[in-house]
Amino acid sequence: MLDILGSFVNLVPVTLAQSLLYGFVALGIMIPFRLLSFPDLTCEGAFPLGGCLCAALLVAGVAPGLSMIIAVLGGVLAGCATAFIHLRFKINTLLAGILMITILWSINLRIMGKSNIPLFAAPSFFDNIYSGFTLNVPVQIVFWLVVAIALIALLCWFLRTDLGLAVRATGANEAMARAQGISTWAITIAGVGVANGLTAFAGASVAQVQGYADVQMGFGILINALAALIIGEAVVGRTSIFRQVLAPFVGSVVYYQVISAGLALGLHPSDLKLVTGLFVLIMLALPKRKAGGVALPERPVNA
Amino acid sequence: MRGEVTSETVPALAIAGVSKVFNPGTPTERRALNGVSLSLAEGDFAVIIGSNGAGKSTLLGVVAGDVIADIGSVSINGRDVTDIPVHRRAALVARVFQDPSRGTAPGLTVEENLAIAYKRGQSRYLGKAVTSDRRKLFREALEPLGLGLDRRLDTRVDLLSGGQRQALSLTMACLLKPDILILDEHCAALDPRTAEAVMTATFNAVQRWRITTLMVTHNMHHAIGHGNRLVMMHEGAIAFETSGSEKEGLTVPSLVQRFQTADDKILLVR
Repeated sequence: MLDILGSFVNLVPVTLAQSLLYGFVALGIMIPFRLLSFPDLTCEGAFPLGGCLCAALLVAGVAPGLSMIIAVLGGVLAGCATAFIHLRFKINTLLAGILMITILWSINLRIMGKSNIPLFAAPSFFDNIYSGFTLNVPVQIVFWLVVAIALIALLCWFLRTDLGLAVRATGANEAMARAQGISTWAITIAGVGVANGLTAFAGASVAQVQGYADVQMGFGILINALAALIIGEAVVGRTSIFRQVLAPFVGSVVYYQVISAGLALGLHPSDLKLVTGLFVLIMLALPKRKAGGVALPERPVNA
Repeated sequence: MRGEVTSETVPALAIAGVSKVFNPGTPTERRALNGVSLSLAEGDFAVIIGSNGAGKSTLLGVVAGDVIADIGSVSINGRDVTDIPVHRRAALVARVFQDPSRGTAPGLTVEENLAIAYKRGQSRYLGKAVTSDRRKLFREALEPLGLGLDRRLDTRVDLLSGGQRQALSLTMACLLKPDILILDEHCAALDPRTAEAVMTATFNAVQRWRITTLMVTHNMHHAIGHGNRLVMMHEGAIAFETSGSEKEGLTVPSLVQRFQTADDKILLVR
């Protein structure tokens, strides 16, 4: 028992650093799902896109900062494309997302020219900030915490501006938003784009921290992020903007510690997706009104 | 340009020869509007009555922009808006729907909904949406309703009653004076007492700001008691129209009489 506890406790800092980084993916899920009522699956492709794009650019000798920016823009573009497919061709948001994931698989392979790129020899964006970043877990934790807090503060401020209210109105009542003169197309495309930019940022960061990018990286990340979001909302609630924006990070921290504890207790790694999938299923199946139960939003196809 | 033309020369709303067919060429083809022309001067309050399927809602849709006319034109204060989509005519048109949930955003507070309406049809930037100045303005706008909404500015709209939401929708529609106010049976889904309160607030706002208004109603008392124009629609066309002193001389029985001659289905005196 002590062994199990010991191995779990030893992993707590590493898991914390990792989970804060994955919190950006959960945030990238929260924005379309909760703010825009646009259930978006693109992140399953935007995450490896960020990693692959950043890795290919780093290996090609592009400056790390610029590589990160291009990787993020790649994610933004993928998200915009999904939203546009839904709006323009009136294709269900989930199918639009799956189309994008499928397309991105080939694009990611094209970008890298092979299925994975090691980055151990390449300069990393984070080592420019603090040399030895990738090996120094406390520095990572502090860094991600600072970035997350800054982002939460930025979003809380934005969502209370005139433009931020337009975003929330678009998700809450699209017809009303349009009747108030809000261009819901522009808002939806930009919003889903920014969300996937965050996911691509996480993908590019993970590739650099772990030292390689792989076309398979982040397989199943959508459900992990959704599970994290659901847990976060159960812990901190959704009753205010602040709580809604905080939930992805809190949920991600809790989720990955629970997974780590499960692994320490002997959960087989290959069963993880089964466990996570069942967890999300149960949470979705619970009645909406019951505490903890969550509903997926639906977005009607309209003119 | 908007606002620079006097009402004598240009009507506030000019609907000219508008026709609309839904699902053309299919078995469900339906001719909703058939060459409708209607002109309102600034400050006119036109009440539209007619049976279900008469084309009332389609006509309102053509003015609001969510229905684009097949032929004919719509202009507001001299500006042709025939093909302009809803979100780009929002500066000119405000609308209150029958369903209270359609006009407000749930999950946002009363003051946040009002802040959205405060920018109706304008560009939205990164300024704070609910400032103390705006909050004061919102409170003043809600106070005359007498429903206590002015004390519930930070309540989420989905926690309000249908009547309160509708009163909020109306306040939102009149917060910035619209060139045209559209009321689509906006009191039909409310209990009688709330309906009267919302209707009174409506007439007060319309009179106070001299808002050019199009109102659809099934309530014959409202149709007779208010407004200076009355339009009866039947099968996609205007069957009967009256205004001014002639309208003031109307009584409920005489109106019902007219209804019967056109269509005996419309004995919906609520």
